Amino acid sequence: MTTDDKIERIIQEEQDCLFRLACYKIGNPDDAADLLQDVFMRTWENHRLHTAIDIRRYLYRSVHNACVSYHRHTKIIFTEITANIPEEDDNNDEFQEEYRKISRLLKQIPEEQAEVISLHTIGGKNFAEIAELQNLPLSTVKSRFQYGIKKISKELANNKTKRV
Amino acid sequence: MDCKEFQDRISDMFDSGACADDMLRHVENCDECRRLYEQYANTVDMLTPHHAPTSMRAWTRPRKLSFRRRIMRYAVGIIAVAVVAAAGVAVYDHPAASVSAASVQAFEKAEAAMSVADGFSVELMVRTLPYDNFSTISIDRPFVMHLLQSGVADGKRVWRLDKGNGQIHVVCDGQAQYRWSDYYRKAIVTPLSYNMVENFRMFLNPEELMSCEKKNVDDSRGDSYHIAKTDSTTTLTIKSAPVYKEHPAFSESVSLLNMENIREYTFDARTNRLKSIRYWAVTDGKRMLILESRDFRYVILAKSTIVDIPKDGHDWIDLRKRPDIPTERLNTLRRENAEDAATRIMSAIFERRLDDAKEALRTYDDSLLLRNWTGYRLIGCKKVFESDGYNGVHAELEVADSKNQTKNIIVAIYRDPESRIWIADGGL
Repeated sequence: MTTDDKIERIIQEEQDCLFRLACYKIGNPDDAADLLQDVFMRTWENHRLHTAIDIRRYLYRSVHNACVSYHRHTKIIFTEITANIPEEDDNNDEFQEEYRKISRLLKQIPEEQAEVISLHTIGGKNFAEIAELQNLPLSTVKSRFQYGIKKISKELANNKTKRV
Repeated sequence: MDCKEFQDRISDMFDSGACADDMLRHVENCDECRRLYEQYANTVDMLTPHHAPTSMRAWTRPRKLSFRRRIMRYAVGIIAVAVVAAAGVAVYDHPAASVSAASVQAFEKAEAAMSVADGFSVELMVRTLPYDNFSTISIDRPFVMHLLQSGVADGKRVWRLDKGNGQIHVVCDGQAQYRWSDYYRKAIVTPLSYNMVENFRMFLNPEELMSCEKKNVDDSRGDSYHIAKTDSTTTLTIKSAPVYKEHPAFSESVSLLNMENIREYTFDARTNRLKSIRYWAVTDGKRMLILESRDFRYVILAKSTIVDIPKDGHDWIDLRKRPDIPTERLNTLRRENAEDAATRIMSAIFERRLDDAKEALRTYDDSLLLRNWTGYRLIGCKKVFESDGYNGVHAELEVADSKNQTKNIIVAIYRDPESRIWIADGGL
């Protein structure tokens, strides 16, 4: 299999996962689709990628960097974390509502923990896959996930207590 | 396993296939760790999208692009054509012949995936009556929330159905079923064989629902199928045949007889498990949503979460025990026809002498009955009739209220197979 074949197959396999991650990182599916296509173009043009894991790591790292860059140019206002997440309504704003909710929660923890949690809950990756993508030991991935969830749970509980 | 070890390894509980039996056993038996797990599970759920755009390719929207974007889109378009051509089109209609095969396959996979699930919870919004009626689904009713939870404890399936805001609760602990309300004193215990949740039985056994839908495809009932796939989901939409055929989710619902329905099941492409259910009734050429699932979650639920029954504060009637009825009265009651039984039962309520119908009204709350029917009198029984899907009969009675306004009411009664006497079952 040539490198081009590999890239084609991996983009095919990963694009929906990457799209979901980008959507929930920037909150705009149109821009997420554009951003991903830029990343895919750069991946095709990158001649230093040979192995499947190199290609996957490059894709995920590039999408992450592109989302960070997107935020530098877009002012987003985050509000205080709350346990009272609004119920879903019948119009088409469910995605936006969910994006705001997830963003608010992930803002409470260090970026490396948020990244592991996003890959798991939004990307649907298991811990072994995340460890491979991020080139980290499995135990580090698990502890980042655990610390992140613990911190958010605690914030939610504190916030609930304050409201009561 | 001790608590420290469990808490050190708690992230394994959220990793597919990594959760060990000893962790499951510990969380089942330790309240503190279970609370911690439930707290984390709730947080993980809040961080998990339920309204994600389905796929990148499905997210296509005509809009004006910048010059750079147009150039880029053109180049990427060429690549995308190659990629899509290689992989097949993501969203498509099957030709008719392959739709049934694909539908059977989807239901089969879902049935297998659901049968190995350790537990699940789902919220069902259903157009129905707010009280202890699990048979009516009607387009005329507002949506009522039902929380369904299911799990396995001691090798037996346990489940729980909570309706409305604490109005009705039904729990199965693997040995018996319990029904109570926050508003009534009287509560009942029944054997497992008794279908206390009527149409909802199917939703508490999703694998059975899948099996039934698969059989419907095999039986070629005249239903039509549509299948759509994205990378993350498979959605099957079924339009019922114009001639009504009984469906287990609607079988008890008289109001939906002779009405076409549309049933939509969405499956997770990775796990094959059910992700959502939506049902519509078709009336006057328009479809109206009658049932919608929210938040299907496959989680390990502790037995104590599901089997939480308030033994105090209610008068529990155990229907597994036969009522002690003197032989002479038993023989009299057995000889009654349905019309006589309905007349006797309603007269006893209207005339406030419930003793005369206590066998038929075992499961009803006396004070509630007396309050509901204060000032009424019976004029007569107009007719007795049967309806599809109900194993008892309905009696239409003419009654007058305290202002002498007359109206017709319909009550449901059935003949208890063991004692062979008539029991009141609805409409009171």
